[in-house]
Amino acid sequence: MKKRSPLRIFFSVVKALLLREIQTRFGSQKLGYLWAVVEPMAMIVFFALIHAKIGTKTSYDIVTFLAVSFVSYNLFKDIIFKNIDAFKANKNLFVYKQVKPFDALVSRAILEIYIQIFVVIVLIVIGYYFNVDMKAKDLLLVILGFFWMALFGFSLSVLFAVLNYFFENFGKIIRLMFLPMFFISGLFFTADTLPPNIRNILLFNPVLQFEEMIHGYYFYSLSDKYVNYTYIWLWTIIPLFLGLWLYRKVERKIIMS
Amino acid sequence: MIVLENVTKYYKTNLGKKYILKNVSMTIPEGVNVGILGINGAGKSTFLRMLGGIDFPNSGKIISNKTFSWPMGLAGGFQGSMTGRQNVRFVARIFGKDEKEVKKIIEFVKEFSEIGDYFDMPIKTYSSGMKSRLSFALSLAFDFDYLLIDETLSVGDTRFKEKSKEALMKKIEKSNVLMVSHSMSDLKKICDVGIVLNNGNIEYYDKISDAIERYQQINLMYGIKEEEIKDLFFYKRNKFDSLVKEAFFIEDEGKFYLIFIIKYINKYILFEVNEEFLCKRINPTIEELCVQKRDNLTEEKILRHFTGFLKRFNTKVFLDIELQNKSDVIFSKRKEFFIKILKNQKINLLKKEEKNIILNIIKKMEQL
Repeated sequence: MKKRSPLRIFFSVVKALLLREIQTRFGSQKLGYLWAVVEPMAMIVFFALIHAKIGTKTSYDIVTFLAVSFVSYNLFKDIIFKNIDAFKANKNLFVYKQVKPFDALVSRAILEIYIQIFVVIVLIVIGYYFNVDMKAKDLLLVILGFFWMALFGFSLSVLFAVLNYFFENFGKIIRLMFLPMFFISGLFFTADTLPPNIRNILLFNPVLQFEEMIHGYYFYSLSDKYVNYTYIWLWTIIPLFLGLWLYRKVERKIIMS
Repeated sequence: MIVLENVTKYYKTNLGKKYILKNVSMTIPEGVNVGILGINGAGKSTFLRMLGGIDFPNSGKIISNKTFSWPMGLAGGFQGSMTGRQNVRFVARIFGKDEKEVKKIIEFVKEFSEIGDYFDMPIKTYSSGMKSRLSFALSLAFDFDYLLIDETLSVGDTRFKEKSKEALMKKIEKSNVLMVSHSMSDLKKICDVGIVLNNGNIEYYDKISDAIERYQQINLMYGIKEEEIKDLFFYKRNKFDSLVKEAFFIEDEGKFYLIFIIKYINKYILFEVNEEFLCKRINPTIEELCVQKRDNLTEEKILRHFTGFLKRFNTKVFLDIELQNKSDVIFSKRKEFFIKILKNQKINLLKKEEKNIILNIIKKMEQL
């Protein structure tokens, strides 16, 4: 058999894992795709109704705002949630020495990105149908923001996956910590509308800053003035390198166990 | 060529470190087929996995620029909820095959494994034999420099065995073999050189026959421990349930016999244990004797399970009798209990030779 370079092996494994992941997740239960779209839509409708009931006046289109929030948040959250137990789920496959645990993380993250792209397309189609004003201030920066958020989620997920492999309840703790995240990450409000003392505390939450950034790029009437770029870069880089460093130390243990 | 440089590998147990390799350096030359021998627990499979790059030494290095298969016959590399076809496709893809080659591999595996329509059913519906056949066919579909074989030559029925042996022989014209087996005849037929793992040391023999001789010597030294057998049958793990309620192991004139009482159906059997049975690595044996707790057990199912198990090891069954007394067996009185049930047999109905064996066994048990 011909020798392949490590990079080529990596690519073919990630591709194989990705196709396999798609098959297991969406093949047997076709509802997989549906749920990925229905969940954010239900959220959008729910919060849009609340906004309508309260009668808040916003300078931006609230439905678009919610859609942008939930898609980016789901992208971030699902990468973490799916990756956190990726090692255990793919344990069987480590009998093939080409398959490294890290490949599972990459392929699952890519799949989450694909799913959210699919969701975005569906939402845009629906938006057009209902004549929603979806015009973005700077579409390229918005897309960049989404990918940055995905990278942020991936960074954390590498660290969490390694820790979860060795501390059984770690994943549960992370899931628990994510419950309040939904309410303090600026998914249905902007930082600007918060009282200053609360805002200063909540801005320590990097997810809120990411949402602020994406909203700032998307909506003409909003800006990224509360975003501290150094802060969110550190949040992206430190977990990534810490996670990779730890992973390198324990990769063999994960394969062997 | 495979080079081992100061390789140390151990497991931590309650009694301290158990060494498989202790600071071993050696070179396996190019172009030879290697048989790996050693008693149970010597670490043959681990050694094979290390050579294949899916297990790693605690210190030292294993260097080779050859390609290695995964340990053949290993049924663990499949995902239960996916079909055989999907699993095969996945493996072909990780080896970087393009779609055309993938198709060819799928066709080959489907035909060779002879699992028919099951090929498009989830792996979890397969019997263990079907899984092994699929796995075996899959490893034949690629061209490796080294094939790693972990006791897989005894897959399926006689005809399939013959066929796979033939295919394997053809395969090793082009590639080499590293193989763990308890079948001395297979080792002699396939391998050129031998490695004996013994207490953390590695002994390399230029002739496989010398290695076999050495192995048999070691094997005699260690003997077979009853404890080991017992462990095997009273094995319990959350999801599994052993089908053996009680077991008794006895040696008579160099032959070994086992009596099983089968759970749920109050039947017991006495059979001769042969070398193949004793040498089989413990884990797979255990699993074959166990059923998943959630399975609906019918008498027929249990019996089928058992006969399959016995057939696989070519064991000779002497008694196969329904229990009269359905009360539970008390563990501490196992011996008495077994003597009683053996004595209760209508021994006179048996063939003379078998009758003698049983009488001998009873005598032996009473002496214990």
